Amino acid sequence: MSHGYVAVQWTRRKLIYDGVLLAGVSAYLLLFMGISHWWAAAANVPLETDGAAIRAYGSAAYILLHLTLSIGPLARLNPLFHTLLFNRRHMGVMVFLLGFLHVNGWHLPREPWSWLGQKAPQFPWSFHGALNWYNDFGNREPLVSLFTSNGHFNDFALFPFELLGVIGLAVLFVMAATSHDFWLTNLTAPVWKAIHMAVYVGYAALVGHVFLGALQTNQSPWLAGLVLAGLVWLLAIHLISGWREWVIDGRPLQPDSTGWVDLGPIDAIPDGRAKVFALAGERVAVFRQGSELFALSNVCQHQNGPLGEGRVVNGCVVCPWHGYEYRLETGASPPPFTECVPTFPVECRQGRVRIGLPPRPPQQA
Amino acid sequence: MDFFIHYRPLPKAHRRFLGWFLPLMLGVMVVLGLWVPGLQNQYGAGSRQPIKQLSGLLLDGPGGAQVLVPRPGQTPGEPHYSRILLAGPGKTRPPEAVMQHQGQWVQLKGSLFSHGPLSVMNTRRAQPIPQPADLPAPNLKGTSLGPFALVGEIIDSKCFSGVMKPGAGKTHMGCAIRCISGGVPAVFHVHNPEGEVLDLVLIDQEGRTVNDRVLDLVAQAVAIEGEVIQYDNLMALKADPLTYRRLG
Ligand code: HEM
Ligand code: FES
Repeated sequence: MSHGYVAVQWTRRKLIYDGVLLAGVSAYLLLFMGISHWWAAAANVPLETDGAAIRAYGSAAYILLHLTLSIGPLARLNPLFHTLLFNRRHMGVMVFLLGFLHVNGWHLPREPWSWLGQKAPQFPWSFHGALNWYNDFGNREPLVSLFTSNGHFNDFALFPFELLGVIGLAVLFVMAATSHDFWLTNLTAPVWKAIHMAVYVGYAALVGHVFLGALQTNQSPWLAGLVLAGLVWLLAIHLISGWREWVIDGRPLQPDSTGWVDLGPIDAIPDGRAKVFALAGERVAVFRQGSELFALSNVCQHQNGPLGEGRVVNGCVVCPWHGYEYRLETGASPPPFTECVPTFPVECRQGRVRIGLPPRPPQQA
Repeated sequence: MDFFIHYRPLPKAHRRFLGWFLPLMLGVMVVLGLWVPGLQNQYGAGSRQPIKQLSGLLLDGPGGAQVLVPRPGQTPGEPHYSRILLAGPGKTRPPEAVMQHQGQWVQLKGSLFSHGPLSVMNTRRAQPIPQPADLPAPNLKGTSLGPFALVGEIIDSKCFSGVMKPGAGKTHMGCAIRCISGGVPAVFHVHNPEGEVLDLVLIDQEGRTVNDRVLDLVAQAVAIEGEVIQYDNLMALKADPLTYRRLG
């Protein structure tokens, strides 16, 4: 381990964040199940409560996954979304929990009610999950049944959509389990980042889970439209934000024979902020403080956040994603933190900014 | 400064943004929570009646365990008996404690599920009773209604009769396979464009159940050509399961 990690710091704002998240999810679940009951009563048929709960939790997880995956690109396009990004990992963990409950269901524990000679109250949301409800109470173990019932692996429309859900849940589990900074530190940021890119594999599997499951049974054009809209939305914002970066990376600047790179007029860099330049293989954030210039790697050591979209506070660049700080001159985090990013020699000649290669290695304060 | 740092006071622009964005997101959740349930196929017919007692002749076939119940005030021309399909607790056929009384008159207790013409009772115990006197002879041989080509879906009679909603279709495939392989009577659910439904138990050429031979065809569109035989109120479709055809 390169350094001791600091336990997740609960700030008031994180608590508010989690509170709003929980309120939104609870509202959805309660309304979904409440309306299902009401609708069944109006149609004068009994509701299958386990099935309704399975659908409520599954769809809640699926909807929240869309929001979670939207925040990254939206924050790229508009910094106001940083207010949702800083604690995005709790949203991801919530997606996993909802997916897990969709599969596992939940019941209140017998105790302490049994000590009082009573039964645990049957809240409307006490239910069997998709695994048990559809696979238990038969002639096979539920897990064996899950993997063996439907053997139509060669048929697209009949494909066992549950197995795509298993892939989705497994990916969400790995994300949630490694979401803590403890793992980030121990796995190193690039490995951690690679693991977290797997969320897109998970998302693809879950789109398949819904297309080959719910949309086959419930042939409502509205339901299909909603699922499709979610997919198109995510693709669109990822493409738009990705395209912007691609434009920057697309024309990397080359050093001249002396190893210096011309970055253009100093006026192009707003005072107190940075402009990001793509050098061959590397993005560099050049900050201007009045007439002073500082060049740092654009890549935050925490989760590769874009330092060039950060601001300078007390001589430190503050990462826009989760607030890690790096000294402008050295690229080192102020003690007790030990992260540091490479810096570059930079100068201004006749109103034009020039940066020197190679970078100075990261140096701890 | 209008730059967000999560451990510092919220800048004005961000406060304004959250002021409309969070209510918008909550509103989206509320709208979806109210809307999405209505897009689900989960309000079908099929209901559970309170625990009931039934007395009748216990039979193992056609198409699985069933009990032949005399109809009290029958009208002329109607069958004298009703057949009610039987399942055990869970995705099984009734346990040995029930099936050992096959061919005898018994009293059964359990919950009764019914969906249109289809009725299934969940039972785990049978109490033998003396055969009631003065009953018309039951039609144990059945009456052939001739050959038919039918298109429908193979379902498990228990879930479809009301345990689950919709209890059919792709999302229910795994569960239906569990039920049918466990010995719950397999039923061919047919409906014509006029919306009339027909549920037929499936039997092979020798009149045996087909359960283990149709698992690959459960919960999808299937065409079957065979002989329809009426046993009191119960229809059976007699055909070699090897001739069942998947559509599409
Ligand atoms: C072991 C993993 C999983 C299994 C076995 C599983 C199983 C199922 C089943 C059987 C259904 C159909 C329920 C019904 O309509 O009767 C379903 C629906 C669904 N599942 Fe999963 N699932 C799994 C994981 C997930 C995960 C991780 C998510 C989302 C994050 C998810 C999202 C959904 C959604 C959105 C639906 C459609 C609900 C609706 O009809 O509105 N599932 N799943
Ligand atoms: S990426 Fe998390 S603080 Fe920079």
